[in-house]
Amino acid sequence: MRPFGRHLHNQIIVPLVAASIVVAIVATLVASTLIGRITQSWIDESVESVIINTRSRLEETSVDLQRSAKMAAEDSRLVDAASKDDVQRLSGVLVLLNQSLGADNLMLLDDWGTVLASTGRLQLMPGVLPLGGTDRDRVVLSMSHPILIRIGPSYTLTALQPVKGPGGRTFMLALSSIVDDAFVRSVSEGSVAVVGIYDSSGRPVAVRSMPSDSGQTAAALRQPVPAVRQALAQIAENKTVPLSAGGAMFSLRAAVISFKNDPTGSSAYLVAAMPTTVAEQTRRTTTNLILMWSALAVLVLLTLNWWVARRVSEPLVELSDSVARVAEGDFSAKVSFRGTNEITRLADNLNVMTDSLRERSESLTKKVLELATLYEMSRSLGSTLDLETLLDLVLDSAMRIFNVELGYVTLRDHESGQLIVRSLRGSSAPRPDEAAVRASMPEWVVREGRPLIFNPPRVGEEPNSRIDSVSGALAALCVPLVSAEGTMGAITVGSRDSQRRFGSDDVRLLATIANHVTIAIGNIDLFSSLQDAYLATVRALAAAVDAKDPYTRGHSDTVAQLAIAIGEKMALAPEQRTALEMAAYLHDIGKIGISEDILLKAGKLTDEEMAQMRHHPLIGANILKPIAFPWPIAPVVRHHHEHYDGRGYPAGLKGEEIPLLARVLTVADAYEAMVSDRPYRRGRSQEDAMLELRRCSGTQFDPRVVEAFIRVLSGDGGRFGAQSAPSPEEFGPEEAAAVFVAVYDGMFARFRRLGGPRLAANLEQDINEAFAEEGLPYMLTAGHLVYDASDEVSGAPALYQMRTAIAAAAAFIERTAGASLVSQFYAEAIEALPERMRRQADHLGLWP
Amino acid sequence: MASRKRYLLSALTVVLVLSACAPADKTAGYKASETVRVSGSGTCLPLLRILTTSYSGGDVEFTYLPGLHSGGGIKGVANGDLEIGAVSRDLTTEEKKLHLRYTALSRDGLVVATHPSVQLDGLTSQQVRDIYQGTYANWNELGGPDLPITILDRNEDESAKIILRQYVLGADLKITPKAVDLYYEPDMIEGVQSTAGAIGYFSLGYGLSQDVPVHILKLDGVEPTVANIENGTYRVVRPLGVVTGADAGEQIDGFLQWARSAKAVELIKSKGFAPAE
Repeated sequence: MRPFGRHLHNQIIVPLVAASIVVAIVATLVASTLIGRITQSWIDESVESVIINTRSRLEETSVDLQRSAKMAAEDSRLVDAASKDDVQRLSGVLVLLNQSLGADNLMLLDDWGTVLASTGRLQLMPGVLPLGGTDRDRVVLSMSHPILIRIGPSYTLTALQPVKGPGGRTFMLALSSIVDDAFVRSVSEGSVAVVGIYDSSGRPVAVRSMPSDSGQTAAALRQPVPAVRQALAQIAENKTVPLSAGGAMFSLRAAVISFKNDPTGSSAYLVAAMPTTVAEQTRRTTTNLILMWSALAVLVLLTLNWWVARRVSEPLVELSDSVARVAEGDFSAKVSFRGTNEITRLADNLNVMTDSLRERSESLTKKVLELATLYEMSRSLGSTLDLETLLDLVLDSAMRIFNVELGYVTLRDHESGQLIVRSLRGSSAPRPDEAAVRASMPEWVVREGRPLIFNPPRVGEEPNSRIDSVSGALAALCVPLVSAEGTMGAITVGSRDSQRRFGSDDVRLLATIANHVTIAIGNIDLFSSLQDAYLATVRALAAAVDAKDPYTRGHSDTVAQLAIAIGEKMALAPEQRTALEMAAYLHDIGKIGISEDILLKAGKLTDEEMAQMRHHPLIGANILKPIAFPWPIAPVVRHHHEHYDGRGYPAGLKGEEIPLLARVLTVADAYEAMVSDRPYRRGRSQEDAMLELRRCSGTQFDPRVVEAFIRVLSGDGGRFGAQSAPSPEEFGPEEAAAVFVAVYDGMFARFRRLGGPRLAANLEQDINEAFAEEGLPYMLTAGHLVYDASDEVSGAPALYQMRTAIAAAAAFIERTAGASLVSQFYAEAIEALPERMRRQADHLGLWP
Repeated sequence: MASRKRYLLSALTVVLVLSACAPADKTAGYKASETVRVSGSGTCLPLLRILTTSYSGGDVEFTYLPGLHSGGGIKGVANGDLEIGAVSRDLTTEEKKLHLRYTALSRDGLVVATHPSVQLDGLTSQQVRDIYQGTYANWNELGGPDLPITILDRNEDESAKIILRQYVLGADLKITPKAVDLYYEPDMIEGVQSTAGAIGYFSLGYGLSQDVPVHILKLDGVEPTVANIENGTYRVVRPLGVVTGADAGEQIDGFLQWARSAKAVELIKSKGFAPAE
């Protein structure tokens, strides 16, 4: 499981488990404490009730005893015998009385406390003093209530009653209950406790054991163990003391026995030992059960929690993964769960959202691509004035937008009125024949002025054999190029894919492109007519020079042709070539300002004449300056007599300081001057002239121009042969770097335009990190590539670095914007370059 | 407090519910046995108790009702309140007319005894007469300790008194007023054993069977023992027997038959009762 899932899982489980454990512990503690208290209080109460019961029984017994004593004392026989002091009779009467009283002992004491007669278990002989001297005094005082007193070896509860003796003496009748085990049994009847009675000094007197007791508890009470002494010591605190005897647990409680109205304050102690084994076992068992149930509950909760957490977190993890994948652009991420709950609904909604996002993203990407391409196209439409280039460009863009492999443009020929395919892409046949064009879609479109769609039949539809006759497309879309003057042609895109279908959106898009194209074609027409006008003007001016200097008639024409040929060999841009042509026609226009004497003078000119003659480039430049040519013609004219080594005129410029076109013109001019006849000399042969050019190459002429010119002259293809590709050596490392920088900047600029500044900044950072990792000497700052020139590398390593850098940028852009856009960016960046640089880029093979 | 007890109770209930219930049914087979009500002479009852306790034959449960006198026992049997009536004297002529069955079980010696504090070897019949007549007030007059003589006596209609008069006191001896009459033999024994200087008389069998701490006196030099009663040396004896209905039923007949068997005789002899003649 992912950390995220585990995290949530734990966040659900841990607090719940902790809570349930805490609750279980608290519950167990509370329950066991409660049970402990209940048990304790139960035991306490039981002991208390035993003591209370026993005490009240004791009280009853004593009251009975007192009553019996009183009754006996009032017996007439006794009174009679006592009054006569008849000891024999007294003794007999006591026996008789005790026959009904059933007391343990019955005796009569004289006023000194001496036994007169006694019957019963105490076995007292007449004449003894059972109560002792001091006791007797007390006895005298306490005739209203029994007292606890030791008589002989026995501890007794004795009730005393006065009996009138002879001669005003008062005898005492003592009725005793011996406090023995049987006595304790009788007073504690019915309780389950072991009960013991202790005399006032804490000595055990009698113990009543339970039937179930093994006797050890009774023994423990008879021979007071520390627990008993402790219980006796804690009477005041009313506490119970635990006692363990014979493997059983007891709770001990002691209490004072004292009787109401007992003026002697004689006291004894009562100790009750309550068996607590059952209670303890109950408490223990109950506590264990609660503990067990708590543990079980915690376990059950744990399982339940785990299950719930899994139920919640697993789908969430899946959803999160899915969302992450969608965020990365993977719209195929789908989640599905069984059941119908909130999560499955969320998943379903997410799926719907993903689908909708994908659709929108796709359509958005398509639109962006369309817009970007349209934008680039419209920009490049303005940048070229070459019709073929324009049409190729338009077709490439349109095919990229529609993602098709076929496309062509047909234009109506001005003279014949026939439709001619001017640019064709993707078709196997290089040039379609006229019949095919006539049967093609553009023919109909141009005639009707409306768009036309060919779509292949869908599955189930009746098959048709409509195939565009020019491109062979199964699906094709053709829209007319409509200008103010009417329909000038049509643009067609198509595909051999039978699944491809065009719709009204496509028609609108292609119509937009067509509008741009129409305008651009209009511009080109306009421009070429303007150019023609310029050319006518120039020719007129050139004719003026020719008129002034008949010897050099036709010179300008020839120089112009030669210069153009050189320009082509040197792969100059079309604008430059045009400028060169114009400059060539007009290079000697300054001669208008030179006197005809000097111009037409046969033979050598004087220095002064020569100086005048050397003014003609300046004059020419001054004449041309006011004319707003679209090309820089004046500088070319001004410097067409400069020498490569700086010895020329008028400025004495040197090498590259001289405009390139001027250098070209110099060579063409010199050559024409050498080979043409002049009134004062015959023209040299072509070979001589070439030798002369070679000789002066590097001094008077630019060697590269001479080289190109020699190729013009020796070239098999003639002056207007096919352009040969420039050799790689022609591009210096600096130029390659410049191309690379331009491509990089172009790509980045396009990305920035589409992605916005924030994304571009991120990309810049990523790319810089990649550069640093690869050890490349590049750095992107504010959208521009800067490279460390000090670490100059040339040749293959430099190329490798450039390719690596481009690949890195491509990878980052692809990750952000997709593969289609990155190639788009590159193509656009390349297209924005001038022709020469574009070729160089192709040659360098920068694209991975 | 009450609620706490209820908590404990519920806890206990839980314990009981959860722990296995121990089966502890006490359903010992109860045999409906024949109940035989016994009462009568207090002198004779100890003998009957010895016999009924040892009797193992028959399905009878003996229930002892509070002691009556011999006459009460006979009347009880006659009017059906008792099944067995203990008798410690011969039946009177009137009683014989009731057509009850008398079964002699033993001859019981009547012994004269004192509290252990009076360690005289014995008394003569004359001395006993003198004591009961009130001639002596203190034991030292008879060579005993300096203790007043406490004279314990029985009612005249008690079999013990009748027998004592018959053999020792004589029919017309006037008993001193210092003597006290006790109703029951147990009271007599209790009085003798618990009162210093007391003298009294009671059944030998009773005294021996209860193992009472009294001092039994030789009478006219003859020690009251089972052997002496059997061989006729000790003459102060009374017959112990039971009356039952003429047709008492086989359970009682079985018991009585056993009570006269040699085995039962051995038993009663060992307890101080001489067998019937």
